Amino acid sequence: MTTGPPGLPRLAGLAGETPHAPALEISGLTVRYGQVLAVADACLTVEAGQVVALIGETGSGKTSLALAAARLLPRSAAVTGLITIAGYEVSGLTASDFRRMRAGLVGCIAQDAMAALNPVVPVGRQVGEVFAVHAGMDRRQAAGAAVAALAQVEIRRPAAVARLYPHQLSGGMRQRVMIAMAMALSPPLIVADEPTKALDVSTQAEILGLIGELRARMHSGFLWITHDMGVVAELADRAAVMYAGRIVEIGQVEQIFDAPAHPYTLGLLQTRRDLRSGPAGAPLFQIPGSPPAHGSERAGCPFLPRCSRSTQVCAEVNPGLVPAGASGHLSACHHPASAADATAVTA
Amino acid sequence: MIAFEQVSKRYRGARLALDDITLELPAGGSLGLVGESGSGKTTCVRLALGLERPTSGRVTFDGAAYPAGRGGLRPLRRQIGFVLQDPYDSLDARMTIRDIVAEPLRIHRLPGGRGRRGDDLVAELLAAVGLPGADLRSYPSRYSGGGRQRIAIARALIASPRVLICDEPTSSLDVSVQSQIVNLLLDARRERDLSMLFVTHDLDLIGRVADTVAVMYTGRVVEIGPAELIRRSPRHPYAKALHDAVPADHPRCRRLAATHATKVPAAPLVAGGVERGVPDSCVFADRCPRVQDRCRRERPPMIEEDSLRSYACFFPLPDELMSS
Amino acid sequence: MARAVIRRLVFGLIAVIGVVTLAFVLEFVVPGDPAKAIAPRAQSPAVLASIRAQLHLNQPVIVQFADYFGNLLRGNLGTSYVQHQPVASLIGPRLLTTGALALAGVVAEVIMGSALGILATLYGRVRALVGAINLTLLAVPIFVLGLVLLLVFGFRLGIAPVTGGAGAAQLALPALTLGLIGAPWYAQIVADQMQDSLASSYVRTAVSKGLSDAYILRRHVLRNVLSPAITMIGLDLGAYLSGVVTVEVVFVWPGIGLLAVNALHDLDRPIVMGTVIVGAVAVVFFNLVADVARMFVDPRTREEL
Repeated sequence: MTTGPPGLPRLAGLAGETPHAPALEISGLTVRYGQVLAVADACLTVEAGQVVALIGETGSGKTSLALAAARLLPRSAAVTGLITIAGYEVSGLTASDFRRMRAGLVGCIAQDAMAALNPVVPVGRQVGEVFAVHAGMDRRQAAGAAVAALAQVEIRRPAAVARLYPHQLSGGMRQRVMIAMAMALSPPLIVADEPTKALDVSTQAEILGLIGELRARMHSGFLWITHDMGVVAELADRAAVMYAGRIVEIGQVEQIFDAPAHPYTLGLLQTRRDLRSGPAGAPLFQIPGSPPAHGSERAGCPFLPRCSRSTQVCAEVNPGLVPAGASGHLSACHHPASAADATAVTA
Repeated sequence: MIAFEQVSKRYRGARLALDDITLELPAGGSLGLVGESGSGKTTCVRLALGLERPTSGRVTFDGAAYPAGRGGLRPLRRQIGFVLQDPYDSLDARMTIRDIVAEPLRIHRLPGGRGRRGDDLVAELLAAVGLPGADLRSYPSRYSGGGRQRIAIARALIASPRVLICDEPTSSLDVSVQSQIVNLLLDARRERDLSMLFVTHDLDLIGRVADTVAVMYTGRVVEIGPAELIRRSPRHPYAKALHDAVPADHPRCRRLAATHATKVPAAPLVAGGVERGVPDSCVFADRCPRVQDRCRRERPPMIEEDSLRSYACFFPLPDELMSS
Repeated sequence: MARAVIRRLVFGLIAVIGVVTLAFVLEFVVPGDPAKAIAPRAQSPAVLASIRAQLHLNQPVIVQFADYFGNLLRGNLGTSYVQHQPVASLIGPRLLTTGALALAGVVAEVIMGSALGILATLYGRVRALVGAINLTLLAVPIFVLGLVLLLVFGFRLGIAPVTGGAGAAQLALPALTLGLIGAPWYAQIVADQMQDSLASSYVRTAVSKGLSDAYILRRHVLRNVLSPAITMIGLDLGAYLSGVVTVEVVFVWPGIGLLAVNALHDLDRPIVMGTVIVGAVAVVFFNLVADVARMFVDPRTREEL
């Protein structure tokens, strides 16, 4: 094994020792919690060094998809489909095999850093654990590596911070600690679950800046969950929009912003644009209706109740992903919007 | 309608949440409070609701100071409806939605607290907030975050208040639902001619909601004026920093993840928000890119630029073309 | 953190003073003439009067209280009416024996309870069984359990000694009884806290770091279980030290509880009051110790009031 994350055992029979394998490849991923269908037949690729934004709201399945990709769902969840990380097919591995490999393959950044860090252990030790357990370092080496990792995420006085407990740090600091933990072994894939959602806008700006720097330095691919189109605009190379458990649009980020095809994407963009530049005093643009309840399955397009472009076929046939204009841009809609619709909004 | 006159609020342990605030919500007007965590905006809400008393200064309602004691506050509270941030906490899970919405009637001993007349009132209001035909005997758990906020709004309006106070009413909601709730609030305000105090961290939102915006930082008001004006040409460096921190509209215009050029120095690492400045200095001094000696020695007073806006800075920003 | 500790010390002191005062007040409320209790067969009023004078019973209340308090500070808990010995010297050795029993009981209940709680959390199939066991143990009155154990192990199987006494062999059954009675509480705390921890975000983070299940349990989950368990241990130690009366009576374990029961029977007020005070001090002391220990274990509680 010439290229690859450090400290990994050589597993026989695995494909993919190509140096520029995609960070993540998902094919036909379906996630069920008992009777509830959370993700239906999702396909997604994150290239090395690329940021793919996964956009969606409550019930869209975005969190389930991301957790499934990182194999962090509870055992009660039924996950089927192919998941490949950096060329290693991980969906077929047993839990214990994957556990040995995972820190070097996929790092996770949770949304609420306060809940995601053990409250009774100093943060330095929590970061150091990754090194101690997976990179074979002893306690002192791991502590040193942890301090270095904290410095990498631009924490000033990292040695002092390492001794503090999570509740003694500000929200932005905690999030940086999470980022340090996720990137400790330079994994090829980072899964981030709305890491800036709970932060102040200025702290969010700092974290986005940090990610920008780190991304230039490392070659990890990011799967970045968010519902904030502004964050998508700042960070993403490609974006996938999820609705009711399906990916309903996917493409290069410029394509999504310039020529959104799916009415839901169009609605999200219009909402933000109207908020930012609409006339004061006028009502805000709103997408009518509300997101579907978790896992409700019905015939036809799930966005139908909220869509102004729907016709009979939308009630009967659930649209699949089809090309929408430029190459690499797909959307699942019988009556996709065109670039003209998008510009009409900004006028 | 509601006024803060040189209000300071100090909590136990010497934490100064508000430092000499002067604000006014005119009758029929709307005032927005914008700030990040630790700015004091939630403390202002608590003072306006009568939940706390100022350590110094006065909070007045319709010209008269807030009375002490629950009994004294009750007639005042009848005139204030409020919607708070967390739709999951603000509704008692064990009460039916009918009881939740009608509770203010009961508390203020208005007709309709119990019985059929109340049922009709509640049903009417629920329809008005977008839940027509809702089962009065259902419980909050049946509703989504957006649904619960609608219930909270119905509750806020049922006693015919004169003032509506909203503290981050949409921050916990899905994006596609946020605008619906905000529109509801704006409609309610217009139809009932309410004065509105709207608190949020979302700069864009406040611009669409409030006539006047007060930007708060660490317990002080740093700039106050029409939202669009503050956005186009902010005077106070913090107001500008806040606007600069908002993510881009389009990938072409991305700045934040690209360079560190216009970054404000980071806040200190210890929890509890930003360190309190020394009383006689500008509270933003240790993070300000334009800071000078004077800023650390003197506290900048509120300077009225014209009848429209004021700011608290010795070296305000000049007018310039801002890329929005 | 030092400030929080000192604050607790002060409150503890106040609590003790409160109990002591209350005990003093009770002396006056409880019917009965101390002089007659001391010398039940005395006939002449002069003798009784002289006893009362000796006990300062004719002095104003405040003076008596000052006496009482002064004595307490010197460790003088009065003299037993019946045994005519200083109460302190009677309680002293009993304190040790009850202490041994309390400690053994706590150890037993923590071990058994934690085992039950951990099993119930980790192995779903066992959960119902553990629940049933817990319920049974909670429902059984302590003296019934004690007597049954005594019957089975003492009389039928002849393994355990059946006469009283304070030896190591005699410790086994009473400690076991206490352990079984207290186990369900710990089982519940451990199970609840473990479930919370396992469902928590930080455990998922630990999983995402590729840490093994055993490591996560050891380093992340169990540590968080300690905090509530420590509080309970403090409460238990204090409570047991004030005299686990039922167990001591059943097994004739010569501890404070047995002493208090006999004294009550004999209307020997000084001893009863003495045990009350000692018990109160024990409870306050161990609560304080538990609080401080918890502060070490859970850094979030260090700044707490």
